[in-house]
Amino acid sequence: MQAMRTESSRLRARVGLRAFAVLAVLTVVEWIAATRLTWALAVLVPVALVKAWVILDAFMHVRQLRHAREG
Amino acid sequence: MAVGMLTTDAHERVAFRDRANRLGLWLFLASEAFLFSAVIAARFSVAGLSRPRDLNQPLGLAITAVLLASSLSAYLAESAAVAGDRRGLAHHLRLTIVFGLAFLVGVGVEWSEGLRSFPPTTAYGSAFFTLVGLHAFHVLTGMAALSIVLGLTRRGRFGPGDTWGIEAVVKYWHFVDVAWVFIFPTLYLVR
Repeated sequence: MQAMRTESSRLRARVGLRAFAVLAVLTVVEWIAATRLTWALAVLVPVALVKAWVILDAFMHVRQLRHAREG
Repeated sequence: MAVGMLTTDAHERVAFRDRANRLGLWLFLASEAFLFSAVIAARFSVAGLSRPRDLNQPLGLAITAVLLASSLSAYLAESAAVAGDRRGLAHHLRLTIVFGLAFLVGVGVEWSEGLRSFPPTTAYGSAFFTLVGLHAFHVLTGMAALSIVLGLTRRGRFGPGDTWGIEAVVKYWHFVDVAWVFIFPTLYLVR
């Protein structure tokens, strides 16, 4: 039981770290777009939406809502 | 037989309460999203796509990184709670509060600079101080909630299977991060 919990905890940590890495890369993309492009809005809006989805999905488990409704 | 029925009934009640709690929290977060969306729209309505030349963009990037890191530590706190790791939970909650504090210090520095360069009487300044102020207030209330959860953890609350309190506070914290994901480009990057 304890071993299963440790494994599950390790898996969750890996998911969290991966999501954080994606968010960091996307923030750098935003920064580059804002400093190099004349009309950065076209990049900033989709990148912000993707970042929000990463947080909602990986950190906030938004997909649980569907299971909660079914369950 | 009667005991079995009672147990089933109790289980159903607990399951219903959990679903109702979760749905209630998401409805609350949705209402908060409407509030932030309105203020973000006001920024474009009042100041268009313009932003001051002396806006401290690197500081904005630094506090964004701090807030993203705080979301990771909050997530790890929740994971520790699910795994029944009380020490890990307390450690990551403390770390999240420290990140929140660092974010607020950054906002304080930003405000002191902003008051000189673009006071609230200017179009951009009014949008900036309203949006950052509204968000900072949410960070502050999130830190207060995290501190309460940390205090309860130290007193032995929240075992495996009883993590709703942590889950709710951590979700609120992540929502504050989601709001900043839109505020950061809106104030610091758009032009």
